[in-house]
Amino acid sequence: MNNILKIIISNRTIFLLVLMFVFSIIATIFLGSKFASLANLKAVILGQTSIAIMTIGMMALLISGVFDLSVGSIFALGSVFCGYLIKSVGLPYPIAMILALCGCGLLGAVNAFIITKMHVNALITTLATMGIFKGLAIIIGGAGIMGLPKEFIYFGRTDFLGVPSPIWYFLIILVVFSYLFSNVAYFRKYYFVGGNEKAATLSGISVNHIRFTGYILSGLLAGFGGVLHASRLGASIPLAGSGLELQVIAAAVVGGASLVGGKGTIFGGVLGAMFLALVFNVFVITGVSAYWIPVVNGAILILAVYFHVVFKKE
Amino acid sequence: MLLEAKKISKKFPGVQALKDVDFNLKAGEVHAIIGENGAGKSTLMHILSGIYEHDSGEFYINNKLTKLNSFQKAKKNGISIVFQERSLFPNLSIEENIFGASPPKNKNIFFQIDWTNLSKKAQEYLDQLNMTINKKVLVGELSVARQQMIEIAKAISNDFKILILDEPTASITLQETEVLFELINEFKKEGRSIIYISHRLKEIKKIADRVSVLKDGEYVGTFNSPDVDIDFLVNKMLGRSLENKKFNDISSSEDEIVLSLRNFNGHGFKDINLDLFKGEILTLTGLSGAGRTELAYAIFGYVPALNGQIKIYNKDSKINHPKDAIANGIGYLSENRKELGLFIGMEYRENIESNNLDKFTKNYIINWGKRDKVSNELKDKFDIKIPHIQQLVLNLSGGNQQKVSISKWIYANLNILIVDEPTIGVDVGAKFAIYKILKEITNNGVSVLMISSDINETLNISDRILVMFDGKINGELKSDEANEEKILKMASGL
Ligand SMILES: Nc1ncnc2c1ncn2[C@@H]1O[C@H](COP(=O)(O)OP(=O)(O)OP(=O)(O)O)[C@@H](O)[C@H]1O
Ligand SMILES: [Mg+2]
Repeated sequence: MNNILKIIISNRTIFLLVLMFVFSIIATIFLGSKFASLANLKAVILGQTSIAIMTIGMMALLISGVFDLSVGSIFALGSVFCGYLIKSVGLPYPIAMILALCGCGLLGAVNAFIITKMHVNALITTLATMGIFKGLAIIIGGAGIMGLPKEFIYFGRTDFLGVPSPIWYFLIILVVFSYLFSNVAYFRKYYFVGGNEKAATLSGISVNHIRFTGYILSGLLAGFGGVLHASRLGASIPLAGSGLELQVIAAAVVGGASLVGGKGTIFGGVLGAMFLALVFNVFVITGVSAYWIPVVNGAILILAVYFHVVFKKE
Repeated sequence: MLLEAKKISKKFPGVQALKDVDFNLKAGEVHAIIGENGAGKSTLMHILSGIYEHDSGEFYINNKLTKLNSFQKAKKNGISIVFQERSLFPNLSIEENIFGASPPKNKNIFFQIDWTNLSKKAQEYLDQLNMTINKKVLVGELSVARQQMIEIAKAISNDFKILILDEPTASITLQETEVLFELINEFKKEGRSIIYISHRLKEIKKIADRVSVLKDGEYVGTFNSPDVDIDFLVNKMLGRSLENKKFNDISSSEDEIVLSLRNFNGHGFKDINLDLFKGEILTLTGLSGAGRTELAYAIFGYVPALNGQIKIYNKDSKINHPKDAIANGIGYLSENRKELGLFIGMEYRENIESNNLDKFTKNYIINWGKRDKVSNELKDKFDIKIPHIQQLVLNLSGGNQQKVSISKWIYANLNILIVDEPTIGVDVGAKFAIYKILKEITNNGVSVLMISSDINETLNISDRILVMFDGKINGELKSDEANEEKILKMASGL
């Protein structure tokens, strides 16, 4: 018994699966079919796809020992770029989407440039760009870009085999990135850079290279989250990304990332995001105000780190 | 007895580090503890100084049962320790580091640090250690050897009765060792006691009054140092004797130059002209601060050189990053395993993977089976004491960590290997095995540029020796004409 408990505690993925299972059973006992239904499960996952996709990017960064506070603002810019290119420039929506994603990748590269070439640390850099990108989103998007075309909305609202398209996009990204980070040599280097930057350099790993690809990936994924959001809504809302960085970092940390780097898996991060989604789903069902979400989010973040410290001592 | 430890046991997951170990210490004696890597020496010291809890056993201080269950308590009982692994704050100055968490306070104003007093006292300890150095300098900027001396200054700044030195000389040079030994003798005269751990048995014969031997976590025995010789001690440590082999069978061919430096300048070294021949072990020796590690950094591209020419296999090369050096077939084993060499918080097998990713990769995909197989093979080849290959490196004993460092570079199988103090903290048996392996790879055409402060090692396995002084190469010795005296002379600038 003791041994089983040890295994559960020492492996974050198993721990989270068990935790979510137990949580779901308790929620089912109290809420019955309002919680335990296929429709609700779908809604939970669907509602969290953007966050989960962004968590994948954040997880990559955290593994390599840095993080990105500007993801919420890149999310907003992704959405606004796309809306602007469709509405004001009149580009066809696939091209607009691709350009918007490129733009967001570029924003990631800007973060990486400031951090690696100008030697400003990641906290300050992404705190500053969080403000800058958010401002740009509002300047470009104003109060919002409404009335996006039907074809574009279709991208985020269609179903395939009875499963909403965003869930498919999310699953594809999850599978690809999980594979990359667990089997492909280049992405293994993220763990070494996170484990010890100097030793990684002396092992012949270019830390700057890892920083660039990491921030570009994080920017791309955050931008995709934004594009997806715009597509589902049929509108680009510049303020929609506010506060997402907290949710994303919380999800990654719950999922097993450590802020000093070298630890965590992509799948763990996604489980973290889904665990948060379950908790908030119970809020919604029981009618608790959405204003409580950041409060609980913050509390969970602290608890996750606290448990990490306690388990490590054991 | 000043201190008596009775039947001390300690278990880590998968390892019985200590089993019913006895130990006692008289006032005013130097008591050495020796044993193979992983024998449990550091664990015992961690328990004595209240860092680890022991599972069973008792401590008596002045014949009174005493609990040493916290660092503070051990300190109150007069125990001060220099850890095997450095524990300084690189972001603070030398003087702040010396006093650590308990700087002298101002008497009149509550809680205010008395900076003038701190400075004055710090200077006293530095003087005792014969160190001329600006004490406002940040510790992170110092060489490993200097940092080690600051550790010692920090330990003696406590008013101790028992000073524990866990491999204090592993990373310092002869000059500093002399100073330390004088100091130890003074402490002895004052009736203070020293527990001294080292793998350098000559040192132990020189400084210790008694020697205790540990093997695989068990107590073997305690001997009066003058009554026993080094072979006897080796035998007790290893359970076997070592063949008395010299390694000077020259394997190099002086016709093929693999690496050559011309007018090479950089931080810490100047005007370096050097040729490395195929299949030789060329040793750079000298005192600390002579610029050897800085030179290695520049060759390896970790800290770029300022100017000069570097030729690899007769081709002008530009090396701006270690990855360029590795692409040119150069590897570098750092002297600073904890900060620069290893990924301490990661698994043993991941450390093996770190610089060998390409060897475990086919079509961009990693072959985990191969990595694990190689990790197991290296574990056996280098006799790394570890319960399983998933063990975190930080749970290994110091010497075993060093073996991990070496093994991952030997496996990388590069043409030119720079090894910076390759056997720091490694026991006599394992040292012997490493020398054998270095000779083996040079016989296969690998060229080794070794940096060593260990004079026996230098004399034992080098084909040629370059002595550095103050950033310059001060002279060259062939292995058959070299001896301790000549090297020391050149190393001090004569
Ligand atoms: N924190 C830990 N967790 C697990 N095992 C440990 C830990 N610390 C030490 N060990 C194990 O206990 C044994 C004794 O280690 P210890 O560091 O005392 O050896 P040592 O005699 O000091 O060796 P060295 O000469 O290499 O410094 C080793 O097998 C080591 O792997
Ligand atoms: Mg030790």
